[in-house]
Amino acid sequence: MTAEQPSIEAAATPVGTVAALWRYPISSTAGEALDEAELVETGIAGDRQYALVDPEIRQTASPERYRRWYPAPLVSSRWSEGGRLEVSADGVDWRDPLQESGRELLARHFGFPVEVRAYGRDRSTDAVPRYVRAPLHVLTTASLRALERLLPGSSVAVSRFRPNILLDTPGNDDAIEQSWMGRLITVAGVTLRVARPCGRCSFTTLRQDGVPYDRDILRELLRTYERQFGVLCDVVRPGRIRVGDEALIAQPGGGKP
Amino acid sequence: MSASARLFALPDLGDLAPGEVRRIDDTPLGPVALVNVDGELHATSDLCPHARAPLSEGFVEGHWLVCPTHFAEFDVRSGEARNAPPRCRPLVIHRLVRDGDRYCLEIPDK
Repeated sequence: MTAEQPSIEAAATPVGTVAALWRYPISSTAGEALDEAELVETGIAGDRQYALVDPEIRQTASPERYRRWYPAPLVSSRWSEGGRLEVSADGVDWRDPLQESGRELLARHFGFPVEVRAYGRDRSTDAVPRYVRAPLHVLTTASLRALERLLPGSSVAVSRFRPNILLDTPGNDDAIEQSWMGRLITVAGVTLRVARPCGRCSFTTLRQDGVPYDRDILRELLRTYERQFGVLCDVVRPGRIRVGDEALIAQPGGGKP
Repeated sequence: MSASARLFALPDLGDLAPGEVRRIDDTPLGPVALVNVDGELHATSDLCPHARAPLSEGFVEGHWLVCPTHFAEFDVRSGEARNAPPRCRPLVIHRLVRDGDRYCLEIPDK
């Protein structure tokens, strides 16, 4: 414990448990569910390190802008046990996207040449980030349940919202995480600071595995939540967390919320 | 049309159906979105005033052109924005002139 990190746990209030963990090694693709995750300053280790790029026009995949990228979330990405980046379009045939066989798979999937590039600043060789964001995305089951009640005819799948951490929060406290702005979340010794709401775009409407295209999702997020759904967090104290861990919330400085 | 305004002939749009939008690149006014509303053609900037998303990648509902990214809606007749992010400006509207079988963009005086 340091002066900057007071006894948070002693003054914190339980809010729920970690229901699921995800990372998305390649942005815009479907990610991988994890039983446990290493949280580092930049978020979950290995999360959003790469992007899909059309090398001919140097366009980073942006399904929220261009229809040609709509198939992106139908591709899955993961880190193999050996630490190799892999992609698949069917969940069976996994290939290294940095090799020719992986590029072939992606070209067949999209219908045009696609490369996987690491994020960086050199437009000639890197993928340029589409936006700057806080590193970790947290969503609650209370928010998902609230949206389900608003959209009984829609599939309100968590995959539409691409959180890193889904917190199972009991009750019907609609969008409870929006009331946590500036507060600290602690999970198994890891501390997160809730930085800002997650502003939503049309990615939430896209077809994914088992989830249809649905414009009503974003329309409802606009109507009810001004597009803010889930929160983005900074990692204050890194460490490992697991599915099932208890989450606590506290005011910065150790006060009760 | 003012006396000195120029016209820019648009390519043949014969297959642009009602409810559809199409992007025209490389006009003197930048990329332009052409929208067919019940058989009537409208021209706007193709760049969303909020974050410059290409509106021709969005969709049309009545006389509203919907941005593909945040679903901001723009009246293609007036440029009025609704359900748009805060501080979003109106959409730039261009004038169209019929020239025989072709449509032309009116390029205003500077």
